[in-house]
Amino acid sequence: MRARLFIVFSLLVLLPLGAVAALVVQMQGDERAMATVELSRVFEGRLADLDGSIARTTEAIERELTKTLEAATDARRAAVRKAPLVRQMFVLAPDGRMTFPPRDDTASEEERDFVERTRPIWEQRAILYDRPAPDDDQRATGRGTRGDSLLTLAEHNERGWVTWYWREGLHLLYWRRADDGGVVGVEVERIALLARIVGQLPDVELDRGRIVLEDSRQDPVYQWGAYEPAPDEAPFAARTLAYPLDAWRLAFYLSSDRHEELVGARAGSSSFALGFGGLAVALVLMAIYFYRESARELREAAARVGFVTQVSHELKTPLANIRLYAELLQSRLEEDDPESTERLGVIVAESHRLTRLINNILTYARQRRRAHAMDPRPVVVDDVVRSVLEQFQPALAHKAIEPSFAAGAPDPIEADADAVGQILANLVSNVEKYAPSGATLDITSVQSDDEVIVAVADDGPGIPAGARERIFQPFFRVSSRLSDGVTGTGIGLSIARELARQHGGDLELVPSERGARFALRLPTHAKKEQR
Amino acid sequence: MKAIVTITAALALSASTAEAKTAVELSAALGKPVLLANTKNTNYLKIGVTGFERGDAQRTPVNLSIVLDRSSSMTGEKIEKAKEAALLVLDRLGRDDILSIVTYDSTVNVLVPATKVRDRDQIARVIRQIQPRGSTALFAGVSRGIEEVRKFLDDNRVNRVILLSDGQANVGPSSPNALGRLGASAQKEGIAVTTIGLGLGYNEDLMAQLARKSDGNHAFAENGEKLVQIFGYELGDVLSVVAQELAIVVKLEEGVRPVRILNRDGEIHGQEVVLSLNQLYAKQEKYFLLEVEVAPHAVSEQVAVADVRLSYANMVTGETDRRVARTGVSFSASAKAVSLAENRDVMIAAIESIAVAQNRTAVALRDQGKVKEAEKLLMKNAGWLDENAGRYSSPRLKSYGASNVQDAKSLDGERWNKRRKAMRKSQHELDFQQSY
Repeated sequence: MRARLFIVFSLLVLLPLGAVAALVVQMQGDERAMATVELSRVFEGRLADLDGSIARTTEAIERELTKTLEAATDARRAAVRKAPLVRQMFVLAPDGRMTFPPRDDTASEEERDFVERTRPIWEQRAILYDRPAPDDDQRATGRGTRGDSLLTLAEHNERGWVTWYWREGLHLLYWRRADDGGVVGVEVERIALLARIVGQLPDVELDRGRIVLEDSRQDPVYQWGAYEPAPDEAPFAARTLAYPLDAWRLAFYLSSDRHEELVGARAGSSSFALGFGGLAVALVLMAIYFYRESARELREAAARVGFVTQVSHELKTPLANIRLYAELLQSRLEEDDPESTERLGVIVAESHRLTRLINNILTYARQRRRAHAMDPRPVVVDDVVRSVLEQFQPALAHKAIEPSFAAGAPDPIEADADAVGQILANLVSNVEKYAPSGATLDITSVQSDDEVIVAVADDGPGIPAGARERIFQPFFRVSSRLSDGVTGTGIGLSIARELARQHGGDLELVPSERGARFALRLPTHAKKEQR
Repeated sequence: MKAIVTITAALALSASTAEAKTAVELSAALGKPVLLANTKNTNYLKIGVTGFERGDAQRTPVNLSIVLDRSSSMTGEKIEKAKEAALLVLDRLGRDDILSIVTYDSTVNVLVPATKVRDRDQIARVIRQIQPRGSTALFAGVSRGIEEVRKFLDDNRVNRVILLSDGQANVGPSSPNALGRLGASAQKEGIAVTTIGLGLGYNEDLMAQLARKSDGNHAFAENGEKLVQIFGYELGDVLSVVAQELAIVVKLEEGVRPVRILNRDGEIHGQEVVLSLNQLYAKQEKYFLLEVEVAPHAVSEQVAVADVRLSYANMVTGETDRRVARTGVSFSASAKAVSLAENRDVMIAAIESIAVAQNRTAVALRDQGKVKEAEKLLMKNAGWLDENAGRYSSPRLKSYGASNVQDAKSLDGERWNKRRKAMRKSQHELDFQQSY
């Protein structure tokens, strides 16, 4: 009993705890995914800040380039010589003709090289793009409108960037619309621009991460942070630089342990664990409380049963004496005093009833303790039936019930006579208690080689369909209303079936047209004590 | 015959003679002041600038960034000597000098941001703590070194980056051409990058190119031991700067066609040649050699060849000075007269420069695997140098001839890597009249 209780309460704790644990694990998974997304947002924000600072550097560079572009016609070369970010300068007339660098032999080698490497642009074979306005968010969609020459771009815009690839990667032109409707521009010294940007980026920071400025081939140009990513490691977050440097990107690499740490901190696993732990403790405490409570109740119930058993046991001897002396008195007064005889008959009948009650209680208690000792001896079932009927004669007569007995089990079987008597007495007692006055009581016994079947039937109110099995459970009564005027403990049928089963037989309620019909089966050879 | 007139005059435009002592000397001289008449002639124009003696004048404060390689290959003696060299520099700088220390491996650290040299102990401590690790982000290192110098960029200071590297740049742009472009850009800002290659693992093309385009020095330190000495020489140069932002414009007369500049880079626009130097050191001559083609003229004709104008920032007076030099030729029918009139100094310089170009070609051939051709070319070069050494009785040409023979013998095996570095160093040294 205790063990079962323990298992039940363990399950009561473990099942919800398991369910909550599963939930927590899932939620934490979700939380981690969320935290990872959030974290990459944070880092993307960081990269966006850097991108912003690079964009500011680019703007400062634009201003610097503009100064070169404003150089007077005769001072262009001097201006280029003094402009560290300018590799070459060019001027286009409104008709598209290049007026600087000159196309004759006054052009230096460097100037001729420039014309050569930018030829696709002048021959309108390159696709050029407008620079989107800084507040435009065209970064995602492209680079704005395209054109086939700088002059067509200059029709829409005052200034802009042109990017193209040549040998070592990205090259940049910065141009402005000239007063005469032509275009002046510079080729930016790419490596110097890069060096300028690199010079503006941080140098030390990030103990377990690395930020890398990557070129169009995703080779590192500049990097900082102590973490060394694997050669093919994908960045945790990346951001393409703002136009015109949009061939380059910033990539954030994070060491896995640092990542774990940050995600863990964000996912708030500790509060989860705390909540889960708290719940577990609460459940365990509750389970312990209820377990102790029920164990106490069980103990108390057992004590009560023990007390009742003890009392019943104590009542047994005086009651036997009362019955003995009443019966002696009855035989002596025989017919001399009919009134006293009748009164003695009541005393004897009531003491029999009390004995049965006490026996039932003691049997029940023994069954509970699983200590009911069977004493199988040769018994003639019909004799036992007759003896029981004789015992009940006054009570049945009182309710005008005339029992009929069709005896058919004259051969002895191995059984405990007292137990069989107790079973039958309980059945007859029920008829006497519940059947109305004038009801019939038919008892039939049949004997075969294997078993004896005793059927006890009445034409009383019968058993409601819903209670057919439950009547065999201890303390179950079809009606508990005291006003019924019917007494009983509700253990009679329960111990009767238990006793029958201890013999290896059974007691069943069998269907009948009216009233209740019980069938007691007893094997010819009682099983040896099996419990 | 005696009517030969050479117009090789250096005319100081500055009025005061007292100032002349603290002025850069400009010279323009032709290898052959007398040319053979009635034929096209090739001639060499040497344009030289010589730094004056500083005297008692306070030296120009410097704005220096030391960029040190601390990749893992620097472990051991190399890093220790590099630190020692940096400490030596620190020792020789004064309170008004600006110093920054940048180290680079996979990433870059500005160990000492550009600052006036006041707290020496602190800077020395930082230098001593440098530990090698990682790979070689050379581009990023130079970029940050330049950035540190740029913070206090000042015409009145010597703005310089000293880059030390012992390995191949493997993070960021790393082609000699790209780094050369970076050097050219730095020169426009008046920042020279001196490159020092340490050991046998660095990329001498990249380092030489960076130095050449930024008008810095280039040195090859075979081991850490030489490093301290080289830093000493370098600092000697840096601390002796007397002029900066030297701009030379050469206007060639009609009939004089510029062919090429032999030893340095410059711009040729038709009849105009534009040359520039970042800085000039005291008592040192730097020169440009221009190959020109002179149209035929009749005997005894005298023609002007070039008008040379120099402007520079005088670091002693703090003013921008200008100087002018002119040169011309006369024509003779006698080859002997032509030969007798030759300017030995100019001819030797021109021959040396041509030999250096040949020496470069030999390296390119060897790079293509054409060892035999390279060897042949070097031996031919040596022979030619020897011949001219005799003709002009020049020990300098003789020794360079011998050096070319050595080059020719070192084209294969283990020797080649080291020799190539030495060749790059000497090519730069000769072209740029480097003091060490």
